[in-house]
Amino acid sequence: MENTEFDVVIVGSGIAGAVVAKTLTDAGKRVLMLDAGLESGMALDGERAYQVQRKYLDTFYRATAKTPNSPYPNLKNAPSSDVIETAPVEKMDARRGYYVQKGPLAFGSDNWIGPGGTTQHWLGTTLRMLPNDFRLKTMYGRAVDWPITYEHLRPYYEMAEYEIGVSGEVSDQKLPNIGPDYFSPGYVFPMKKIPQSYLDTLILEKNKRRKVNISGDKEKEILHPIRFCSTPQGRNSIPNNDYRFSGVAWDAKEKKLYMVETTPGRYEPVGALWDPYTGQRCEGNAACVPICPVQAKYNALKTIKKAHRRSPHLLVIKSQCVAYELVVDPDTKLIRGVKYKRYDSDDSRNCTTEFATARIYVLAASAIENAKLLLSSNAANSSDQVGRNLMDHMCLLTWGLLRDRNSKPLKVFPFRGPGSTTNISSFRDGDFRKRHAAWIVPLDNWGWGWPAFSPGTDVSIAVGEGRFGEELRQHLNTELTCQVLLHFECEQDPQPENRVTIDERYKDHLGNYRPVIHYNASDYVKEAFRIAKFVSDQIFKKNNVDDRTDYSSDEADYWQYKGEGYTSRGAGHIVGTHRMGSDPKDSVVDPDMRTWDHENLFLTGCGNMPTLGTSNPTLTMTALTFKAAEAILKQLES
Amino acid sequence: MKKSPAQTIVESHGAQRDPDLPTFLELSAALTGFSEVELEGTGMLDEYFYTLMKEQDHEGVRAFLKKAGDILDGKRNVKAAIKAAFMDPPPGLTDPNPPFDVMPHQALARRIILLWYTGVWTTMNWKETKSQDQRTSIVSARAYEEGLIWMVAQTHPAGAKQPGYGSWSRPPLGADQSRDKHGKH
Repeated sequence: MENTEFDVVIVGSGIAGAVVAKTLTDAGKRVLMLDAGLESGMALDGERAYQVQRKYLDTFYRATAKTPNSPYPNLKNAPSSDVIETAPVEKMDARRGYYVQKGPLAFGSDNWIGPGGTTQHWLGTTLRMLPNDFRLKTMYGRAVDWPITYEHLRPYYEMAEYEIGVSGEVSDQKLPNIGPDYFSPGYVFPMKKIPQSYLDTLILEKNKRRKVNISGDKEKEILHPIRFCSTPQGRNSIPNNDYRFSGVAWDAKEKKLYMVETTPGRYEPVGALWDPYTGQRCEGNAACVPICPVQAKYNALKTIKKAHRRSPHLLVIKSQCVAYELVVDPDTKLIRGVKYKRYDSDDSRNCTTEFATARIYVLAASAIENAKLLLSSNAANSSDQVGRNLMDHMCLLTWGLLRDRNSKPLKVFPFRGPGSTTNISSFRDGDFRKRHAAWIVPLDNWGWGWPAFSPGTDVSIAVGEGRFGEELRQHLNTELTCQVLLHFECEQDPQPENRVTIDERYKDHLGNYRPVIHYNASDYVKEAFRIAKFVSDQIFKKNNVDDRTDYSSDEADYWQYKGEGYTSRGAGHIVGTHRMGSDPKDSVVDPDMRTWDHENLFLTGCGNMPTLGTSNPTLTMTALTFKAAEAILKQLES
Repeated sequence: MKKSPAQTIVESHGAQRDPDLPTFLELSAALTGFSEVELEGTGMLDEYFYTLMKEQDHEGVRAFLKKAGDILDGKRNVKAAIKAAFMDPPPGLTDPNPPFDVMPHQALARRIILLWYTGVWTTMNWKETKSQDQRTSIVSARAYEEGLIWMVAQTHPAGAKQPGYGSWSRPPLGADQSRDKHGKH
């Protein structure tokens, strides 16, 4: 191997890049991190970090469409996708936007390219996957098994929960088929659960011990229970005095990572970048997506800041550097370096082409960007799996107005608190997975914001109906305070034709490839939609919900199945483009997330996940990243 | 007799005030269902009046305010007169932002309601070159925060004026408890 200044080059500054950088520099390794975003955004301290946040917030306040990426700069030289570009594929102009959508369905999820990555706008839900999610093929004859089990990943989940700072209640997690060892003995989350919303309490009270028919056929009854569960979240709450860990460290003798134990009661929430006393608790801004104003919600810059503070001489961050090619040695198949373009400013194409070298290379640029970079480099693709098996949670949304027994408005007071604090967990696993995809149902705290852009559109509609004055005020109050929304996040199964590719015809401002996306829903997911809608109808009926669900044929991702129309929406859970496996013939990385083809190239991020499960993928991806970091340290020290 | 805030404005803004400002406030109250005191309390009155007066078609805006002034001065059946003059759409038209050239008064009245409720203004300038979407924007960060919609929904603007840890687990302040039998403090 070449003798260079750095042990490791990391491409990307999101949570995967941050965790690798911190774990490695804590173990004394020299790390170069390349970030495509603006240098001004890589502000880790004091006034600079505060001013960056003010700028993001001001942009958010002034955005007419408050989409997940609305507070953050969308750069010409390092573009991000934006859900606002999503439209029916036949109506989309391939010259515009970032993704080139080839359909048949539009891929409706975005991420953000820049300092801290998509943890800037993530909701912060930190559910673990279930044991059966790792063995779908064995259990249900569907999709594929992972090359590792839940038990393998459990210690790394604990590391991820430490680093993110998870608030949750272990005893609430009565999840399907998890067995007695889902949590290690005596385990608690770092902080107590985020209080469940007033809305949650009302719904829980009304639906205790409720069962629903999941046959999809009114004449036939297969009853399934509805069970609620408080949702673990990566936002600050009251420290749990029984939590006994204070960090993750490398044991150079045993060649493994371990959790550092300390006297219980010492856990301190990590506050805002600019002021540790700000953001010590979630303050109820109700804007987690797209931005937590007080940074009580975790973002990856918190991890980078810790790494930088602890080992300033070991971590070098280069901003405005867009990696575009890995150089592969034709003889050894080792990666010899990363080519990147360092641009002067976002206004110009002026850039210098530079080359970074190290002993080991880590791609941490997101599932889509990792795949794009590998395809551009003709690397890691002997299996022909790079870019394939692109997945997301396809979401069925149902919404209405809550009424009491006498059909009078029952106010639940939405638009308050974190996006979701409770979920229905009982459909996350079961024998039904032989027939259709599993799902999770978060109870939404923000009214019809997602499907109908409430509360703003409610005003336009009411005024359009000719309402004004006191009547308008009363009408809006009654409608907005009674809005309820459920969304059924259905697990998409891996399909080789759902994929990211590149094409000479489609390049960005700097001449780098744009992702070309082919995407569709399988019948396995469509059947889940049919059953989920059948279940939602029962829940709404039993709860006196005045159903206002409306799927319109001119929406992006409207499709019909067995005579009914549905609109699916992306969850922002972009997964599966370079999957992990036990066989180099049908997977891109091994269980240590090392590429089968290049011994010194590791991939991190959601692209590694062979299947998606029903949990938001960030926590699992972070656990996998600790596992990868451990393997990298092992390799560096061998 | 007690002075109305609109009358107070006449005094407080002195000779520099625009003569149509009191009419704008009084009309805004009639259109939004909020009192003049509540509207002034948002601190947005001058900024919104300025937003309206920035429109290039000054004659059109002045004519609109003149008509509003006449209706409000009539004192009788003000509500019905406002409805007839500004709110009733021609049959079949439900666009909340009807084209200015087709129905200027209806368009302005609706834009004023949206402005107070959401901070959004769709300008009628540049109608030749820009789409309606491109002409629609939030007037300022403060306009977003001061939108009446948040008060009406009994909450706070998303991302601002946060009510504090755990507040979402209880009904909001001022919620009518008699209806909320599950409510607890």
